[in-house]
Amino acid sequence: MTTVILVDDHHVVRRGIRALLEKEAGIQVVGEAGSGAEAARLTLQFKPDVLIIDLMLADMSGLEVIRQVRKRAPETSSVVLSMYGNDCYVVEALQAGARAYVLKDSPPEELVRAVREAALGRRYLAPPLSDRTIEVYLQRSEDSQLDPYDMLTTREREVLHLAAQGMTSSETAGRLCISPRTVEVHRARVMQKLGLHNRTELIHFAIRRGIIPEK
Amino acid sequence: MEDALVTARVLVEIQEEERRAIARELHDRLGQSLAVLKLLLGEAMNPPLDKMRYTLGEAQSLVNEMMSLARELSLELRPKMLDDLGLLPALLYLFESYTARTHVSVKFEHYGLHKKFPPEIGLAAYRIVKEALENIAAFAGVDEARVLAWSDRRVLSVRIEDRGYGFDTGIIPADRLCGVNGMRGRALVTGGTLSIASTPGLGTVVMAELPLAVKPERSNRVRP
Repeated sequence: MTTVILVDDHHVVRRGIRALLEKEAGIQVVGEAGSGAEAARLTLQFKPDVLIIDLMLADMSGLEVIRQVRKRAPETSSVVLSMYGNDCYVVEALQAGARAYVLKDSPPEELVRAVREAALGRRYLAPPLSDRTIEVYLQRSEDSQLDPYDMLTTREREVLHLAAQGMTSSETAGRLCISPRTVEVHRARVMQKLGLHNRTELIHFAIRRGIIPEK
Repeated sequence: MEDALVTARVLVEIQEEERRAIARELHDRLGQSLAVLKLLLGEAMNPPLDKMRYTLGEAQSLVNEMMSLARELSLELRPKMLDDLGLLPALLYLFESYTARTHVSVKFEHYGLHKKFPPEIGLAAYRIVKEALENIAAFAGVDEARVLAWSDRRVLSVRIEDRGYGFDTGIIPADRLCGVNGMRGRALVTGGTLSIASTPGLGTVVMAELPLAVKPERSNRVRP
């Protein structure tokens, strides 16, 4: 017999899910909770095989409950039942320790399947979720190699270009109709963003970038 | 100037609170009722009467549409994943739904976004990127935009560019003024800066720098 605790802050949703699961052989709903705190308490007390939980709870995030359950009741498998199927939620839930993820608009048999798979300790993502889309998401969320030149504001680029051409701060200030002090500030920020330390390095950078021609 | 800043801050807060409330309504009421309705319809489909089955099938797919509408609207009004998961997931989702809706693809590069930003900073960055992208879809006449976002310990920066029609920043067209002011206001209330550079025929660059650490105020008082 697979024991289940249901967590959703909407009574009607819990009733619907209970009705669905009670028709299934070998599944028994042993408790219900309407809040995250109660969910954690009941799960630690009864140690059910499966915890069905919504991520959006009024008092705390379902993710937090899943983390606690993984740590303090590792024999319980969490199944997320959510309105949101965005990859970011799925990734976050899996990283928190969920075994399965089902959407509230999935066919009812998907939830049953997820409960059975999770009870066996297997991972299950209900369609249209898939490991492939999760993989793509993880790739997109990896840090990129940014071009430092892209980090300059338009004004900073102007100051860089004029400095590379050999203009002094006061000449640059006159050209851009700003004060020499402001030019100094911009120039300092340019140097810092580009990781440059002196005028020679600035000239080299400008040549490499094609800002000024190589002599 | 200070009064104007306070007013802007209050207005932004009010607007955000309203959005949060609507988002909650949509999720709690529309979304959940529809979920229950769907369960009930599923039950009613059991007797195998062909016609009933067909009608109920239709109703069910309609319900599916409404559920995804509720979800989309809720996220549009207040990007819940920004609160729940942070800026990077919220931006990735924004680009996905933006491209699906406008057919403008987004080339996104980022560095240092895997951390928790102060909520008002994350929100400002999100709204600025969103507004700039909406402007690109509406006015730039391109099918690709580029977004860069990066942060160090001091500043969160975003840069949104396109190679579209561009405009003369000296005379901002009336239909864009509200959006431009909105972006400026967003940056301003965080103590940050926003610049817009645009050249007719070459495109537009919007760049915002939002401070992560509050600078200690310089004291004018002379120490005894």
